[in-house]
Amino acid sequence: MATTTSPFDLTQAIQQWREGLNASPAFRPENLDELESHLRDSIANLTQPGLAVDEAFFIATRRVGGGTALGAEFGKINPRGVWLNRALWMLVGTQVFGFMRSSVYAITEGTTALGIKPVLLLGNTSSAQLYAGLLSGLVHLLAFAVALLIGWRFITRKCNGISAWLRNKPTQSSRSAAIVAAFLIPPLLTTALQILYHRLIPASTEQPFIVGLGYGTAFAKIIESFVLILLTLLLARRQLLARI
Amino acid sequence: MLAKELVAASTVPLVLSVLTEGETYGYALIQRVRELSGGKIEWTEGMLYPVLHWMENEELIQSDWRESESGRKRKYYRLRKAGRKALQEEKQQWLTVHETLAKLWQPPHPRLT
Repeated sequence: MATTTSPFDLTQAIQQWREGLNASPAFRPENLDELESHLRDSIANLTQPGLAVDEAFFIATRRVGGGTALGAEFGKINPRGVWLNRALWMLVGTQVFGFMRSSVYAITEGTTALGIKPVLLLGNTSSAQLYAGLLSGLVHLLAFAVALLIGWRFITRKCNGISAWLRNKPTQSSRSAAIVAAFLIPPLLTTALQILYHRLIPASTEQPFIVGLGYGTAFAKIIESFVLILLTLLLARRQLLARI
Repeated sequence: MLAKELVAASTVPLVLSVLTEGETYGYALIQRVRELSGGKIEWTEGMLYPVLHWMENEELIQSDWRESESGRKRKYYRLRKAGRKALQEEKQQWLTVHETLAKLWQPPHPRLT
């Protein structure tokens, strides 16, 4: 019978197994060395009575245990690695959130500045204020919803790509570039929006715009907070359920 | 098969006891326990290593990487003084449980023993 499967490459299989575990911050290189040593002993022992190498590899990895269960136990003895990893992701999260927030503000202020211009020409300050408030609140919420949706889709759709990128050990330079970009883009964007709105709104008609924007943004921020609380609770619940 | 809780509770005394036979490495330690228990004590093998590292932090055991006869490197563990002391305490406690249960389970009729 012709076989299409290529011969089993033990070195490569062990390397892949090791890389799979390495994705978790719970393991230090020395832990992986020891687990690999164990796996090799186990495979050597299983092939002695005549088991094929690929079968021995399969059984040996099963006996060592799955990455999730092992990661949980190793995490208890390597809390530093686990927490450093969490801190990194918290910082990344802060930057992403900052970027999202700046974008929402830029869009809101830009749109409100543009939208209020024709109303300002009518000369009624209080109606311009109300209009700016409603417009900024609405645009802010809309932009926030879109940002959330994009973020959500990015995480759920591209998560495999992100994991693969992280697993393939991004080069120092590409990692540095990503970090610099994450830290530089939000302040740059904020500055850009400041310049933009000073250009759109002449100093003499600034008052209703600022007051309206202030009310609109404050209202939108409250809704935003509630949505974020809800999202956090949902994710926490999901994680708890996944653990049971 | 042993209950999960009992496996967890007995890991440290088992490791300490096996190490009184001399220094050894993780895989051999697991094999030894399997052999002595007739296969009834079955660990998820990888789970032993965090326990070993914890015991090392507690200074019950110590370890070093050395080349084995086969030419590969292995991490060997051996008992420390505090480990021997801890084993004495463990032994006392397990024997207390064992003796108490044994007395309770002893058949009332001497002819049956």
